[in-house]
Amino acid sequence: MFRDGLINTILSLIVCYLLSFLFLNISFFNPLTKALQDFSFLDVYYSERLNENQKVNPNIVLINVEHKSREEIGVALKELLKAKPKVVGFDIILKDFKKTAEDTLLAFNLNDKRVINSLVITEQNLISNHPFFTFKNKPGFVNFNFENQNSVIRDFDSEKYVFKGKHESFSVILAREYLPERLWDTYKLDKKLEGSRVINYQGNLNHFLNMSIDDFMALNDKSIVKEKIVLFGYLGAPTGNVYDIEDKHFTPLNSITSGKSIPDMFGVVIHANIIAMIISNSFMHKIQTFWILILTFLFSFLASIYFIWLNKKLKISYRTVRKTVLFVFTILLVWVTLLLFKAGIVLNSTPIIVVTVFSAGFIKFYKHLVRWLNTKTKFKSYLN
Amino acid sequence: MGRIFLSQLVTCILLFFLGFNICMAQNSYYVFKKSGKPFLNIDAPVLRGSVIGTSDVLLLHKKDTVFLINEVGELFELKQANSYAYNSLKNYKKQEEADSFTKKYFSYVWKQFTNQQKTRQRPGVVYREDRNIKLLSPKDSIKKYVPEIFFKWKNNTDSTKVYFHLQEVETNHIFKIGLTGNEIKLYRDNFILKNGRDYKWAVTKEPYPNFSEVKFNNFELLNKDSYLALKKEMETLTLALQLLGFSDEDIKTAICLDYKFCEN
Repeated sequence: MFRDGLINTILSLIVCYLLSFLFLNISFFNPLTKALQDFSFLDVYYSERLNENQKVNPNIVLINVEHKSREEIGVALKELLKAKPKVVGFDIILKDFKKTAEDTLLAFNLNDKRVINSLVITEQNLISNHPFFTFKNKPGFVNFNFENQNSVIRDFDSEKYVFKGKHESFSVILAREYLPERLWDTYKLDKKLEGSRVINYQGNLNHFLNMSIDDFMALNDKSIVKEKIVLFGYLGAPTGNVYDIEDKHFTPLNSITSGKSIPDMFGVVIHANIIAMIISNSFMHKIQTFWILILTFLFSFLASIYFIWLNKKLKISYRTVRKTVLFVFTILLVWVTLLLFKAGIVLNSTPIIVVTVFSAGFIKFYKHLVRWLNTKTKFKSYLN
Repeated sequence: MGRIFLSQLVTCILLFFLGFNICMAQNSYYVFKKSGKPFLNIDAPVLRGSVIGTSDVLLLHKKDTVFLINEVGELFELKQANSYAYNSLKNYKKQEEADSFTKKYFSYVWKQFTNQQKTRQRPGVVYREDRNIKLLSPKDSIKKYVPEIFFKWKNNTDSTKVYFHLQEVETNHIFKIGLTGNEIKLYRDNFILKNGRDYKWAVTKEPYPNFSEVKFNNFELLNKDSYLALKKEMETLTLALQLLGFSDEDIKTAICLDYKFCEN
C-alpha cells in the first residue's frame, strides 16, 4: 500500500506540474491564472475581520493633503515641524518648480532633517522632486514591491539596487529615524529587512490617527504629533472617501477576496502599516518554498495511502466519503493556516490543498494504470 | 558622617521627584473621531486631534459621539448626552469583540457553505445633494424683537472655513467675518445690529463672492413700538388659537411660520 501510495503521489505530482505549466502558458487560461494569482486563503483573515484589533496606532499620525495648494501644504508642514514630530514622511512628489514664494517656503521646510521625501523607481528612471526641492535626507522609494505581478499588496521590499545605486524604502527610512539605534539593533532589523517581507497589516485608515490639513491647522494644541511619525499624503477628498481611488490599492483587507472590486487602501496607509510593523517588531515569518514542497509531498502521500486503503474497503460509498474527507481536510487546513497566520507564520497552503486533492482524485487513473500494467506484466499492487 | 547625610539627602530628593512624577504623570486623551457638535469646556468645539487634559470637561449633546484614544492607542467611546470629566473617561473603554477567532472562522465557513452571502446591491445612479451652504435660522423674511440673534447654517461643501455676511439693507454696509463653525450669535449692540433696521445675511465659502449669485435671508429687527403694534395685531388670532386648545409654544411657532413674526 505504501508503494502504491508513493507511486500515485509521484505520478500525480508530475501530472499536476505539467498541467500547471500548461495553465500558465496557454493564453486562453490567462484570466483564470491571473485571478488565481491574486487569490490567497490568508486574505480571509483580514477580509472577514477574524482577529480585528480595535487599538489605534498611537505612534503614527496621517495628514491628508486632499487637493490643497503648495502654499497650504507648505504652511501646514511649517506648523507641523514647530510641533516637534520625531520624523515626517512626505508621500508627495513635486515634479515641477513653479518659481513662486510658496515653492520656496515648501523647499525650506522639506530641507528639515526630520523630513523624508519620496522617490518612485520605474524601469526606465527614478522619479523624485524637482532639484529645487533639494533635501538633506536621502529619499526613500515608495514602491511596495518589484518582482510581484499581483495587484494585491501583500509584501514589500525594503531595499533595491537599481541604476548603480542602493535605494531604501520610504517606510524603512522613517522607521529607522523613529526607533532608537539600540532598539533597531536589539530587534535585529537589518537582518529581518533583507529581501521581501509579508506585511502584517494592523488595519485600514481607522487604525491610525488621521486628519485633514484643515483639521490640523485648526488645532490650538498640536501636541498630538509631538515625538511621533507623521505622514503627509493623500487620503481621499474628503478624507476616507471610498469612491476616490487616487493612490489607492488592493490589499488583503478588501472585503471582496476574489472577483471584481474597488481598491481599498490609500498608499500612505500601506506605508503606515509597514512602519507600524517595523517599529513594533511584529514581522510575519514566511515558510520557505522548500518546506511547502515537503509538506505538499507529505500530505499527498498520506492522502494517497489513505484513499487507496479506503478505495479497497468501500465499494459503493467511496466517492461520497472521499469528497467529504477532502472537504473537511480543506476547511481544517485553512483553519490551521489562519491560526498560524495569527501567530505570525505565513504558510501558503494553496499548493498543499490543490495537490493533495488532485492526488486523491488521481487514484482512479492509477487504478487503470495498474490494470493496464497487469495485462502486460505482473505488477504487484494493493489494488489487485 | 556629612557624606552619608548628603547621599541620603540626594536619595530623598530623587525619590521625591520620582514619586511626584508618578503621581502627576497621567495619560492624555486625543480626539480620534467625532460626530455632531460636542464641546470642550462649555464652548470650545471639539476637533479631531484635540488633546483632553486633566482639567478638561467634554460636553456631549443628543446625537453627539466622540471617540478618544489614550497614549497606548486604546479606544474610548462616548455616545450619551452628558458632561464627561477627565477622570471619568477611563470608564468608557470600547469593549473588544468577544467572539473567538475559531468561532468567527467556522461561522464564515458555514455562511459560505449555506450560501448566506450578502447580496450586492448595485443601483446605477449617482446622488447629487446640494453642495452648498443652507441657511437654517433665522428663517427668511421674518420680523424679530430680541436682544440677540443666533445665526445657524448647514455647510454641505467641502470647505471648513466659511464667511458670514450681514448686510444692512438701508446703508448696504456689509459686516463680514470668517468662521470654521456652523453658527454665530450676534447681539443687538446698536453697532452691528440696531433696532428698527432691515438686514439680510448669507454664508459663503469664498471671502469675496459674487453677491448676485448668493442666496440671502432677510429679517427685520423690530423696535419696541413696531413689536407692540404687531403683537396687538396678533392678539385676536392668539386668543382664537388658545380657545381651540393650542399651547402658547405652538401658537408662537404657527405665527412665526405664517406671519413671519417670531418672538424667539
